[in-house]
Amino acid sequence: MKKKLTYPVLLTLFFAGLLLALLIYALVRYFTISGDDALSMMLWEAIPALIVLVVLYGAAMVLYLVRIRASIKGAAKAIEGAVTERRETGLGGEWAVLDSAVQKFNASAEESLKSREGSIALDARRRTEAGIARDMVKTFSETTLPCVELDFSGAGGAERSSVIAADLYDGFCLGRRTLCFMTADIWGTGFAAARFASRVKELFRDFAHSSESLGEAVLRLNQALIENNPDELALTGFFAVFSPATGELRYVNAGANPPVIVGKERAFLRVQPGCPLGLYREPDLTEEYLIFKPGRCLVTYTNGAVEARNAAGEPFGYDRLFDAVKDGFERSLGAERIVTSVTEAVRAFGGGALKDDAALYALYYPKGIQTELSPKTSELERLRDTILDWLKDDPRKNKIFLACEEIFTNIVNHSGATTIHLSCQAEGNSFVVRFTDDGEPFNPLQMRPEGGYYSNNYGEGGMGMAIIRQIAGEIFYRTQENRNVLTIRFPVIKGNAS
Amino acid sequence: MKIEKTIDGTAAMLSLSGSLDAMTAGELSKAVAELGDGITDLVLDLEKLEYVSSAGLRQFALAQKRMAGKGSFSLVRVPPFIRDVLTMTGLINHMEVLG
Repeated sequence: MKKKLTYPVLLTLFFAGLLLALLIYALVRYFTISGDDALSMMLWEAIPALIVLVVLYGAAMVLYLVRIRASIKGAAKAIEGAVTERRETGLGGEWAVLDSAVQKFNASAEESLKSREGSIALDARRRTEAGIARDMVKTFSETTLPCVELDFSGAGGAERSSVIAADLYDGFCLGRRTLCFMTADIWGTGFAAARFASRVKELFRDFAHSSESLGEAVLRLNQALIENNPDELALTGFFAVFSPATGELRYVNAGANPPVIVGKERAFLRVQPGCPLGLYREPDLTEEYLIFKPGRCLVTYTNGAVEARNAAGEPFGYDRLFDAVKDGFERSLGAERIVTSVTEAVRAFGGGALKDDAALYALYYPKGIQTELSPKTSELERLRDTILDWLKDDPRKNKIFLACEEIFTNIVNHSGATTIHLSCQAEGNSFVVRFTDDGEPFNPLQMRPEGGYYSNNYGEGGMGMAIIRQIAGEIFYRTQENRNVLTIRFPVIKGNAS
Repeated sequence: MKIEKTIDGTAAMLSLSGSLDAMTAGELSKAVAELGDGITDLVLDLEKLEYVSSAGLRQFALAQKRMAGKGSFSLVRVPPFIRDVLTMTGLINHMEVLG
C-alpha cells in the first residue's frame, strides 16, 4: 500500500536534508582550512548550526501535535454527543461527511444489536426446547423393555430424524404372557410433539390395564386426548394385544399403515383404515382379530420407515421393508433382531439423514421356543427344563438334551461369551436347536480328541464332540455379526425307545 | 446327584443316582478323592444313574487312572442310556463294564 506524505513526514525529510547539507559543508570546511586548528574551527561553525536546526525541528513538531490534538478532541466530543443523545452534531464544513456517517452507523449498530439479541434468545430457546424434547423422547423410548418369553418375543425400536417427530412405540405385558404393543405417528414436531407422545404412551398403558377390551382402551385414549389437547395434536397408530395361549391377535388400526407379516410368505395384515386419534369425539374405529399362527412375525411401523429417502430421492418402500424384516426373521434370534435389521436398513438407505422418525414394533412368534442363558454351568438346569419341557414325551429327549449340554458346556468353557441365545424349533420331522453366543469365534466342529478319547487329554472336549456328532443328524457352524451360531438338526423318529 | 459309599477293606463301591453332568461331576471327583490311597479296588454302581454327560465320563476315566497299577476299576449295573453314552465315546472298550 502506498504511504501518504503527511506533514510530520515532510518536516522530518526536510530536517534530514538540512542535516546532510550541514555535514557536507562541515567536511568541505575541514579539508579546505589548513592548519592545526582546522577541526576546532569547523566544529565552532557546525555545532551552532546543528543546534539551531534541532530547535526549529522540535518547535515545528510541537506546533503540529497541538493542532492535531485539538482537532481529534473536537471530533471525539461530537461523536460522543451524537451517540449518547442521538442528535445532529452540528459539525459543518469538512466534518459534515463524518457526522452523517456516524449517524448512519449509530442507527445500523442499534438495529443489528437488537436483531442479534433477538436471534440469540430465540436460538437458545429452541435449543433448550429441543434438548428437553430429545430427553423426553429418549426417556419414553427407553422405558420399553423387550419382552422375551419362551415361545415369542416382542421388541420396539426407532430411527430418529433431524427433527423431533416423537414417533413412538411401546410394548408391555398385560397379565401373564399377554403382550400389548403399539406404534404411533405424532402429527407435529418439537417439544409439543414430544410432550404429546409421552402422554399418549402413559395414557395408553393406563387404559390398556384398566379396560375390558383393546377397543375400549383406544377409545378412552382418544377421549382423553380430545379433552386435554392444548397443542391441538393428533396421531395415527396401530394398537394390538397378543395372547399366545389362544394364538389370538386383537388389534385396532387408527389410520396407520397396515403392519407387515413375514413367515413363509409376505403379506400385509388386513386392517380397517380407522381414524386418527385426538380429532373426533366419535372416531370410526374397529377392533379386529385373527389367529396368529407360529412361524411368523408381525411388524408395525410409522410412515418414516417406508418414506425414508436416499440421496437419489427414492423412497425406502415396502419391498425393502419386507426384505429387512425377512432378513431379521430368518436369523431366528427374536424380535429385537428384526427391529435392528429394519432400523439398520432404513439408516443405511437414508444415509443417516432422515427427514422423519421411524418407529416400529416387532412381534416374533417362531415355531418352538427361545430363551437367553447365562454362560454359567448352573444354567444347565434351566437348559434341561427348557429342552425336556419342549420335547415332552419324545423318546429321544434325553439324548437331545445330552447333545445340548455338551454344546452349552463347550461354549461356557471355551468361548468367553457373555450371553447365549437358545432357539428350539420343530421343522417337519426334525428338531432344530440353535445356540448363538457373543464369545470369541470358536468352531467346536474343529475340535479333535488328541490321542483318542481314552487319553490323558480328557479336558479338551473331544468326548463331548463325539457325543454330539453321533446324536445330531447335521451340525452347522457359522459366525454372524461377531456371534458364533451353531445349529444342530436332530432327526426325530417317534417310537425309538433308546 | 446322590452318592452312597460302601467300603470293605481295600475295596469300595460308590452307588450313583440322579444326573452326572457338568454341574455334578465335581461331587464324584470329591468322593473318589476322599476314598484315599488305601482303596485299591473301586466299583461304581450305576443302576440308579439316569443321565451322564462327557463331564461325568471324564470322572470315570480319572477314577480308573487312579486305580491303575494298584487294583481294579469297574462299572456295574449300567443302564441302557449310560451304556449308549459309553459306546458313543468309545470308553466302553477301555473299561470293565459288568452287567
